[in-house]
Amino acid sequence: MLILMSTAKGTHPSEEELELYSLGRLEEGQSTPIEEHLLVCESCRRQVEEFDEFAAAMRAALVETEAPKQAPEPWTARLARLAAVPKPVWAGALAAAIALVLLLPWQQRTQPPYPVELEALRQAAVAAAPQGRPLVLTVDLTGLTGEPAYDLEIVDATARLVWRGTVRSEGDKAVLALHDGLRAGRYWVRIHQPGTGELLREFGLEVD
Amino acid sequence: MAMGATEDHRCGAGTSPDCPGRVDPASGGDYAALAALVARIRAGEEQALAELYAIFSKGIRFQLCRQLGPQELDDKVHDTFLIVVEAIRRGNLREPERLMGFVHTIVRRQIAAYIESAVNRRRNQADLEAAAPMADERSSPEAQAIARQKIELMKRVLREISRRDREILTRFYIYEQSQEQICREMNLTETQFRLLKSRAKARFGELGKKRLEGRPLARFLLRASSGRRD
Repeated sequence: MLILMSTAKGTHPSEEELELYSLGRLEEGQSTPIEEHLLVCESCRRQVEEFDEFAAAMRAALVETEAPKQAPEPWTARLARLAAVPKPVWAGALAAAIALVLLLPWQQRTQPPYPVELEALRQAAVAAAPQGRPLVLTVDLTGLTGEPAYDLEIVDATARLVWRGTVRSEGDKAVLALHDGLRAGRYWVRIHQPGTGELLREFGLEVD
Repeated sequence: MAMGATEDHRCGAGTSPDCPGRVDPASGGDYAALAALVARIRAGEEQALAELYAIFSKGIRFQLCRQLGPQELDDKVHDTFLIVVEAIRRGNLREPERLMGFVHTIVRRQIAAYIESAVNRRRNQADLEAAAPMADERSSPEAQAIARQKIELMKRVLREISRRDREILTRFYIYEQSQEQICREMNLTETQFRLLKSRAKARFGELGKKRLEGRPLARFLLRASSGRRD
């Protein structure tokens, strides 16, 4: 872990500290001396802005390049396609399936994240995502109160809590990475007002 | 009261010219200078207020904007500055050499107060939501175009590096894994990790610079959107 002492009297924070501050990954006790320093240091403020800009572009570019945009093919369509395959091919397919089952846990861990846009439009279709794959949810915050962070929870169709935490606002959206993805089913992604817990917005998410 | 010149309405760190009370945090004797400044404010010296404003206004603006967004930023900076000055005059700052911490605390309290007031306002206006005016919080088309351009540049940077390096960046920026965890799981030294990030950053900067060369309009838009006046 970093030793966050460089903002003691007379020194600038290190680049690494400023980057972690920009990314919001410092505890309050660690960020306080940096924020005090930023009050009076223009060059460090510039650096933080550069880190903000770099990280925003990096996140967006990684999500776009590392994850294909196509929607997942429904399982019924996949089954129909398989049924059309000539019988001699099944033996090879079976062997491939066994290999796939053996390799699946490894493959799921190394798969690129799948981007899911959750939009606040009344007419927007329910977002879809593949099961068991890392997901990056981009949540639309347009028109909300402009908090620096919101409470977010994901519940399944039976209202069982699947994920709860805080997401930072990045302009009019927030990004949440789910490394382990979700199982098949219908989910609800809810944004709550920090502090009061008031429900501000709810999005549907279909995983199959 | 001398309150500085006209301000822009953006979050940018801005360029501040040298000013009489300028604090260089890398130098040693600033805290004594701040204590002297506090004493002059308590003594009612007008020039000391101007110096205090010159030292802290951009930093206060930066932090308010980061937490609350650019709406009504000038008013918020002004209000915060007045609270700082009043508190100093009332003698609430018991250790003048702790001025930076004192200002920081007031800024944090102001941020919390603005958030609370926004929550209450929203709750009270819930029934009138359809009629209530609402600020358009989306970026301007120019800012969106510039952001898009930066993403394309970054995609180019990512295409130039290996799949493994992309995975490292994905873990750090998307999954928010710590440097320690990434280095451990991907068998990297901390130096290799830092080099990868700094090279990507340098390449991004280099491509951005090339893209802007010979494009005065884009250069102008970029400056305007970042709030820089250099």
